[in-house]
Amino acid sequence: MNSRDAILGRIRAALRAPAPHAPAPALAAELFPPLRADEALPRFAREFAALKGVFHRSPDANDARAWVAGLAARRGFARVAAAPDDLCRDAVSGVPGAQTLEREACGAQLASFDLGVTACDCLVARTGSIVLTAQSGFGRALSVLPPAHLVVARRAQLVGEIREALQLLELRHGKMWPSMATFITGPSRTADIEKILVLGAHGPRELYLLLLDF
Amino acid sequence: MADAHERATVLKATATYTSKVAETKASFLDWATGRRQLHQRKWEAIHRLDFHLETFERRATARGARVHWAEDAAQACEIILEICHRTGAQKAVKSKSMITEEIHLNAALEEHGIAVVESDLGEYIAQIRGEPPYHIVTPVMQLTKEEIAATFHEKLGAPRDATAEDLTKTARRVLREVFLAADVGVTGANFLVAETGMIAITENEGNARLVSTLPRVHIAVAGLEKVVPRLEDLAGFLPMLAVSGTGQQLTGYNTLLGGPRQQGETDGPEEMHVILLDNGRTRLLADAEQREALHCIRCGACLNVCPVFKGVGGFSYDTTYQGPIGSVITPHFRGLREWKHLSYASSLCGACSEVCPVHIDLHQHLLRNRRNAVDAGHVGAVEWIAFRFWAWAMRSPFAYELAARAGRIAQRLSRLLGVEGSLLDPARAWTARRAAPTLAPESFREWWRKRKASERKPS
Repeated sequence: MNSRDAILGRIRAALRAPAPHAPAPALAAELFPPLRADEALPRFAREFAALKGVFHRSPDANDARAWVAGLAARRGFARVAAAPDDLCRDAVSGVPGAQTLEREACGAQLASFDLGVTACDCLVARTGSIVLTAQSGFGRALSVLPPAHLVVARRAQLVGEIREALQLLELRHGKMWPSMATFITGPSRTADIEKILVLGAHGPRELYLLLLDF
Repeated sequence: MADAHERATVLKATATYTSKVAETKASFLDWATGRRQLHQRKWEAIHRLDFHLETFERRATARGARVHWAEDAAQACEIILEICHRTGAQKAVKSKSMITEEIHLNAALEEHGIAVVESDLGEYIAQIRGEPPYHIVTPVMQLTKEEIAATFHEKLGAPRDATAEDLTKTARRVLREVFLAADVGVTGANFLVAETGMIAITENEGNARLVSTLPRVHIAVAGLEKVVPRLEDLAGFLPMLAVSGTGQQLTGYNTLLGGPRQQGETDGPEEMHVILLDNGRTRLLADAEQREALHCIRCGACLNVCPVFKGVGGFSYDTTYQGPIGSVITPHFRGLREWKHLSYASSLCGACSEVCPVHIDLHQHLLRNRRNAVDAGHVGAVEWIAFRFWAWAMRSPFAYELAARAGRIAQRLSRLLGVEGSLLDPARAWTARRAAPTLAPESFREWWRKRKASERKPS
């Protein structure tokens, strides 16, 4: 007998002994106090800032381009790689030398960039999280390998709760999931040394969100 | 046993943890209901474990992942070595995972000439110091930054007065090269989502994302019990794991991985393997009374609140999983006779059961382990006789008093002659490492009788 069948056989045998008692059905209660629709954006901005992310809300495309160009100049981002996505391409169009990646750009080569620019699937107001996949993030590496990450999102992509974000992913990708989906909550961090918070452990030290509110 | 310095460092870390947890717990509407929900979801998962695992296997396979089943540590290591050999892998990089500690993977890889480097900062520090992780979530909880700086000075030439920030930067620089050069990336898994055939990994540093992205082969090792039926189950598990683990609202990265690089994707590994490990878990499952210990999501909360853990320190357990949960499950994994002592090293204060986010009655399971050890006859003759005598004496006032008096005389005599703690001491097993409390010169009953007598006397 192979180990698969042996293990499954043992599981079935073990489960023949009934549990002493089944748990009382838990209430289908919400875990968090409900967020009103008008609270979602301020909540996201507050949580994102508390995590040391930098949030900018643009009223129009010119403002968005100018803000990204200003950011790149201020932070000295010389090598900027953007996902081949309309929002991203437009956002970096004011940055001298910014590259829009091609399909075959991959993995390790992205290590030499200063800033990765991606889209996302949605934003979670409750926790200030950005949700992206190997599709919206243009692969797995662009959002984690360069030392800074800029996400370009539309206002309409904001949802309230983690549960809604999971439902949205399921709805959008349920038939053909990308191989990676991730909830990004703040820049890469560690507190392994004396519980002292240090940003930029292995992933991006800086995390920016450009919210297009138009 | 932990020394005073180590104990102070651990107490400081757990105090920081406790205050952060209190802050984030306050954002929940009703934490207690949340615990009941998670308990129920895990209960459902565990009580149809075969069904959910088969669903996971089918879905993951359909996405191009390969699912392997390992009976024990040796078989899991064998499978991993086979993958390494077939793909010609020389260098492995790992993200934090307790299950690869459980199977002693690093030793197995090194024995076969495959270099392996830990990439979680805490685990990396532990690895270069040649120590096992001290705590399932906080691997170097017992070390101060000065001690870590000294290690980095010795091994990597970092300055002796490096700050936590400097040390993190040094590790980032060194490990960046490791990520880029590795052939194989090994991770654990916090959850296996049956419905979608994906694994979920929770981390803060981004190293698990790199480990599962850059090397051409990704191997995830997971305990059988990690399966959850639905994707939406994570809506409860992820925030409650974050709060209980580190006092965060949500951990930095919660990543779902399903399969290797898919058609049309620009990067990711060529192969993804998931190894489902038994290694004693079906034994625990067969114990209907204790099977809820398989609900554990390894958040580490029970360690952080445990007075025993904080007193003796993580190394004293000599187990993969320390603290109350380790004391509960280790006897099932490694044998009750050799590991029952952990269940006795508890004050049964119940702090662990109180904080557990999946509502495992940990201290009751410690008691059950004790009972099972007695029932199985894993008790020495002296202990057996002593407890029979104790039970008899406690039920007879006369015998109790007699024994107390005899004890007082015996203690005085033993101290006078210097027997206490020496080889001649019949209670040496106890007194060799502990200071025996001095029996009161007068018992309460004697004092009470005297008092009554004096009250009756006319003044």
